[in-house]
Amino acid sequence: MTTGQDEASSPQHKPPTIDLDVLRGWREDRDPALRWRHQLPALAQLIPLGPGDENSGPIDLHGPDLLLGRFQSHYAPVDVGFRQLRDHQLYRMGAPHVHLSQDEQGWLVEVLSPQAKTMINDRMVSHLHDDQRLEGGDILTLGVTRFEFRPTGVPLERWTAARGRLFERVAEPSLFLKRHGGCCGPFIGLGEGAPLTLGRSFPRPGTLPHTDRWPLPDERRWDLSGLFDEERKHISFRHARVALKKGQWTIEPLSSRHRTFVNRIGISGTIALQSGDEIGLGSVLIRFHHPHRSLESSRPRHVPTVVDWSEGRPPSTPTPEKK
Amino acid sequence: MDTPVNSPAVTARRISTIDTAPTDCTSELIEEAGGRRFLYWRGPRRWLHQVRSLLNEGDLEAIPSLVGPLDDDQNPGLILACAGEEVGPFDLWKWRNLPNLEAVAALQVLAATVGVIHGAGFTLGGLERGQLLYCPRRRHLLLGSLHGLRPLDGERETIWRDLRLFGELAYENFLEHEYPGGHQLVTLLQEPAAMAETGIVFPGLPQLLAGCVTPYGDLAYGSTDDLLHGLGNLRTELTRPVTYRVGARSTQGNHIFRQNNQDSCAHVVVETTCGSQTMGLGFFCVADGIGGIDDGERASSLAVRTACAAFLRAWNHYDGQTLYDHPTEVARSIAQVTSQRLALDGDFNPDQNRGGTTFTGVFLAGDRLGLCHVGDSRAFLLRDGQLIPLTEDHTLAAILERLGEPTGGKDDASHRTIARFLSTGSELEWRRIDGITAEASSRLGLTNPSRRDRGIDLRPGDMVLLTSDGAHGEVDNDELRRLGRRFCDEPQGLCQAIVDQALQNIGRDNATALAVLIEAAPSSLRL
Repeated sequence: MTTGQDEASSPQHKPPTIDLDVLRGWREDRDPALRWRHQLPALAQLIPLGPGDENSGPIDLHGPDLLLGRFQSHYAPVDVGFRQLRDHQLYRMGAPHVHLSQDEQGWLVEVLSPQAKTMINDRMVSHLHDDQRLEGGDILTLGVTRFEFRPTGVPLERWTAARGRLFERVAEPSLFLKRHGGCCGPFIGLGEGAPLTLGRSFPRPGTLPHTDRWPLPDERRWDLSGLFDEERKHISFRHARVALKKGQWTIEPLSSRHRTFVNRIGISGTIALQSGDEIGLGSVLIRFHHPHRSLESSRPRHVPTVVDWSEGRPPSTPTPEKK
Repeated sequence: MDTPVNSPAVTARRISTIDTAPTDCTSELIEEAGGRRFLYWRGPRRWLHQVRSLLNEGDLEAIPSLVGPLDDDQNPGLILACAGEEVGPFDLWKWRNLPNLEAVAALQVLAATVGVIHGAGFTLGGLERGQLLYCPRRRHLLLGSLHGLRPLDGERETIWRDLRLFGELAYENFLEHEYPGGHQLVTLLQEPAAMAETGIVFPGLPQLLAGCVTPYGDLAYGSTDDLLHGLGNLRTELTRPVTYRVGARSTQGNHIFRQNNQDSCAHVVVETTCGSQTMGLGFFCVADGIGGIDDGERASSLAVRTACAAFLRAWNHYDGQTLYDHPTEVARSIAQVTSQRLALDGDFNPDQNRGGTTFTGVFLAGDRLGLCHVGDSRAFLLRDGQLIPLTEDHTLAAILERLGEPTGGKDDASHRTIARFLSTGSELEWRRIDGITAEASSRLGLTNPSRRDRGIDLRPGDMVLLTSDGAHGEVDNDELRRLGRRFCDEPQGLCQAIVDQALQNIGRDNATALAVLIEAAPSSLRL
């Protein structure tokens, strides 16, 4: 039984009665493991403070290096897409909005979106500023949404060790699903070289009217239908293919509707993968891990360049308030 | 004054005394100076103790609520408050003239209460009509005394003695003359010609009478569950199913820059009788295509066809009660599946299909309404001359309004920029498929959120109206209300009038209106 209601997974909602598979006329294969609890400890939390946000719980940050904001396919995947926010809140969110990272001294904020408002403790922060320090209890405002920033106190070593234990589960090159900045648990082994298609369930040709010319589902696939609605909506039914070519693992985009990224840069053809590379399917991030290679990719993850589109005309956000 | 009578025998007026012979108990209906009515029960301590323990059992809807015991050593008693001020002795004339459906409902409430009494291990010692009260405001029969209350023995006949009165009362209500007595009725029920001559023809009634007339034989009711089942069947026969009368009109419009009609509208109505359940089901939707000329038309047409097919799959798979209990979930699920179908089309036919569509759908199950909504088409409920919007537009203007920013005038592009729609690019999340708005829910008195999921209870005479922005963009709400009053029983006329008005204004967009009138099925019964 599959249902589209991801609210159903939270305790205050009763399970849905209507099975979407019945209404579809075909069965979607939703792996419940794709929605399980995150396997890595959270390093910090963002607690929404706005009126109307009372029911949306804290947003856990499960990694030391994250892009936050709205996902917009012209730009790049984000680690935290704020899926519980309402339309008007997302409308004022940059794509991406900020880069949050942790160093020895603590957390840093880099503003990436000049058009969208960013404030720390109600003080305006611009992309022209140096990276700002973020302390526990600080109020971070992104667009029109206020969050309290709360580090959990989990040391980075513990997080790294937990991630190491996760990687130790596999003895072959594998793909690990990432969520909120860290590998969250689900993974798939790539095996001996048969190509693996990443995508979602779809009906066999002819199941629905006028679908005789649709493709057949691929033999080997990782079905990501079980992801949360906000994640899977940007994944194509046949999105990308990972294959071993001349001893080298490669990724090939298959969809013309949704983009595939490697290390947050959109790709248009087959490219080779290195261990530690980060594949982006729409807004969903997947880490390519090779057990016999180095943990981190030699190609650094790309943080988008700031482009100030407001040049030549007044910015749409209010100017910083003077204290 | 809020405190009940402390010494009722002195300060209150006696309305009537209930016959409690041959017991030592008394029951009086009294009225205090403020007009509130109470029951005053007295009797032996052991009996009072039993009554009090029974009243703690819970759901005894047909017994007035206990206000308190009278701690008078000489004269112990109980005071019960009758909620309806008009509560009075059972009135045979009023009972005979009560609409059948209301009479059956009153008998159901009374039977349920007797069922709780039996469940608690007590019997009424033979229910008599003399111990009944009638509340005209709530249309309930109440138990005015429990003087025969005693522990149940194991006899089937003891139970039956508490149930036989239901047959008598049903007979008198349906046939409007005196109950002929058990012996004669038994004879009548064995002779079809005599039954027909007497007029015992209503389906479900002979079965009920047979269950109550004698404690012997296979047909006799041996428990309140049997009785409730019989009353339930009678009610099913009495309940008038609502039917839907649909009108729709959609036009390309006469704006010179519109080359086709990108609006689609569709509806499916299924009228079924499945076993004891007669129910109409319907799905009605309007979709306004977005995108290139052909893409918009393709997307909106695919959306309404997919949605209607999904509705029929739901009808095929689920029983009527499940659909009736979850109308909004059904509607939103249909929209979700439709959204996925569009995304599939976008993925596998990328060249032909880059559009999207708004989608507003209404699911009707009997008299229940569920809603799904995405985009800037609208759904309204026309009730008693009022126009109640059921949806909120998903436009940039609505977002800016939420942000407290200026939206420009009525003609500003933000009103035409759609913030949420069913796209062939990516499917919509469940949480972004709206149901009935909070505002409409509170206006219709659905304050409890779980109640809101159960949808709106419609009444005969209600009209549901779906419009695309080419229609409501040209005809404002005041005008819609005015037209709604004028065409209150003509859905097709209403749709024509709305679209004609849009054409009159040389509206900029395709215009579509779909209206559903809820009608009670005609009946010759006194309902």
